[in-house]
Amino acid sequence: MDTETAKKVVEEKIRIAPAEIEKKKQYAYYLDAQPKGDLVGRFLEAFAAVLEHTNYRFAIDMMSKVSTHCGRCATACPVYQVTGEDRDIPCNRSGLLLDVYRRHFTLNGWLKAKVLGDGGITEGDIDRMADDFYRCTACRRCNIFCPMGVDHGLITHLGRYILSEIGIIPKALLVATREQIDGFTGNTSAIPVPALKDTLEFLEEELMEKFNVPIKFPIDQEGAEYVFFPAVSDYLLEADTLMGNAAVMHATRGSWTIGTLDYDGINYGLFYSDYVLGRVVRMELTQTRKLKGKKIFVGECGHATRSAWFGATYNENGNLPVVNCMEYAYEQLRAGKLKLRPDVVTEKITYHDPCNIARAGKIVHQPREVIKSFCKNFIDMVPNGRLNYCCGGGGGTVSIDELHEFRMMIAGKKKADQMRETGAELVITPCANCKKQVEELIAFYELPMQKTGLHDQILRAIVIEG
Amino acid sequence: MEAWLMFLRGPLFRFALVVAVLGLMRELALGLWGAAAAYRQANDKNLPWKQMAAAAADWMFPVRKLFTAQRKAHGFLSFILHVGVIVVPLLLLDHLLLWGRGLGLDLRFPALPDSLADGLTLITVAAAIGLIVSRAGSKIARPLSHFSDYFLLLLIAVIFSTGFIASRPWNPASYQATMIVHVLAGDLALLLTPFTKLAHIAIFPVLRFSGELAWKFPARAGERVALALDGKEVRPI
Repeated sequence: MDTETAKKVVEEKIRIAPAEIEKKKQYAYYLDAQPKGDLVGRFLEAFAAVLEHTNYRFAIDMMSKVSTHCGRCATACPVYQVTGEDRDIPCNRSGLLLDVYRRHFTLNGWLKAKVLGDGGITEGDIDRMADDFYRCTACRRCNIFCPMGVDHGLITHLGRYILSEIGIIPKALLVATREQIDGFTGNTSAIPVPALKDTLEFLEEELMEKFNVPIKFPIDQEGAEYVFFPAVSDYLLEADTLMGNAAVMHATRGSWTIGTLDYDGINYGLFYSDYVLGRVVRMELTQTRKLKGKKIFVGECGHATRSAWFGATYNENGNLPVVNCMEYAYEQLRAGKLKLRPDVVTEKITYHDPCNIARAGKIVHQPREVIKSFCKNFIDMVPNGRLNYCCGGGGGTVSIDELHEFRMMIAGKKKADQMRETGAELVITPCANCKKQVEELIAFYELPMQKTGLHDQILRAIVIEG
Repeated sequence: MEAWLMFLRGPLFRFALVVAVLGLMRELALGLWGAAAAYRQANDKNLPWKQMAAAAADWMFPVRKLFTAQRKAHGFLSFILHVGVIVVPLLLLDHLLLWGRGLGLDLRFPALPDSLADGLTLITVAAAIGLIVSRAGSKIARPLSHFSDYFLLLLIAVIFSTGFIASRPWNPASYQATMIVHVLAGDLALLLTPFTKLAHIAIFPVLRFSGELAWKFPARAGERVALALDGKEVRPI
């Protein structure tokens, strides 16, 4: 299918998408159970508790007072740029929650309601929030474009947090989190330790076959400098990424280990609940301390890295540094310990910035430097880095199958256009969530390219000395 | 009519000014107090100060943004409006004379030349009207707009246009009547300042920093919310 035909097919699909999505169910995603009781009362009670015990109040109080309603956020939003619907203007969506705040938690709002006879929030308002806050991928691109600095990603996060406190949580996220925190396996993909060990043995055999050198995935090694937390789904889906990780650690003589108490970097709390976020972060901290590790070492995953950065928030007993595997590879490359052959990877490559590590400008140049060291044919998307577009699967939406049409036709369209524009053969996307989304986008839009991880390509180019 | 005018630019103006200044100080104090409390409660105090300051400066003096940000027409008009509403009321000779008389000082020296003041005034009125039109005509901004978004722009247009025409020989209304509208609208703008989005005058820098700071949660916030709602800190997922 040529580009023009593909665009037409997609545009046709987009035209029918919202109605199709809305017909299916109350919300665009499944709930574990219908929330019970007086929803409005419970929502306000949860909102009040959150305002009292967290740091949100002063920020949303100011944001609620001085939003300029200029609409610049919409020009930054990949969802609005495709749908053009009022509901997808970030300022409008944030307004849903800020209106409740003004009406129920400020004197001005109370007075205004008395004068105008405003009855306050309704169940319909809660339904709208439940739907609309999951139409935001929480990529925070709009924050950069807002003159006032209103952080719509923060408000989406807060809205979802309050909704979660009254039981409105996408089932896909809740079930995975339940297994991770309360389940037998302790991880979101429900991989038991024996299966993990089998997988690692298999990967070691593969590495042996490839390099003829024993390259290990150390397990439960006390005193290792780095304790490894990839997105656990990598153990099921991304063998090359993991082998690349092991190869880099081997080549650089890195001291690392995988702990069997907790080996999952995924933290859906970042997407819907501060309570969950804290508990999962503490599981990582506990595992790292138990192994007397010095650093939390995160695999190729944007949200796993950002949530691990929250260790400084939840670690009340001193800080543990967090290192993303791409930062590590970059440092080792600079130090001359990581050697990559420049003649193996000949494909044209582009790079997708995961929002959670790029938006704050924290991990932007490092992967590019690594790529350019072994690839002569690198092309960046436009825009990129801090201003990148979300893949369309951010904010946990990629894990919610019911949102597949939304992710493909709406949230990911901008990214698909960007990828097509580059004409690249490989898209490096160093994030478990982005990988799934980008792979689905490539299939959906029939793009002539493949998704890959950075360490997948490092695995091809790395020099392993016996 | 003269007595009305004296009242509006005397006691009412002083009252409005006090409300505006105290109100803005209150907003700033609340913002700073909230920010300080959030910072104190946060376990992670590592904030990207430089990046936050750079972003705040970039929007406070948005010369670069004029050429790089989206919605350029809106941005350009908004920039002009801001220059006008800051410069003209402060540096207009007539206003400086009033201030001088009130304070017993000679404050004429920084006054704008008449032609520049007139030009800026007209441009500001044009910018305010342009922003109203652009807001009403924009597919994005229209659904976002509240009554106050239009009203404040209209108020500025009224203040500046009545100030401009008051003493012109071709003014169809009387000087006093025009000035009453001018001063009344000005007093109203001052009175509304702390209670509307105009409060950004005072809280803009704190606001710009608030997003990043709000992400720095208190270590036990999640558990405290759970305790408040369920009566226990640890609960099944």
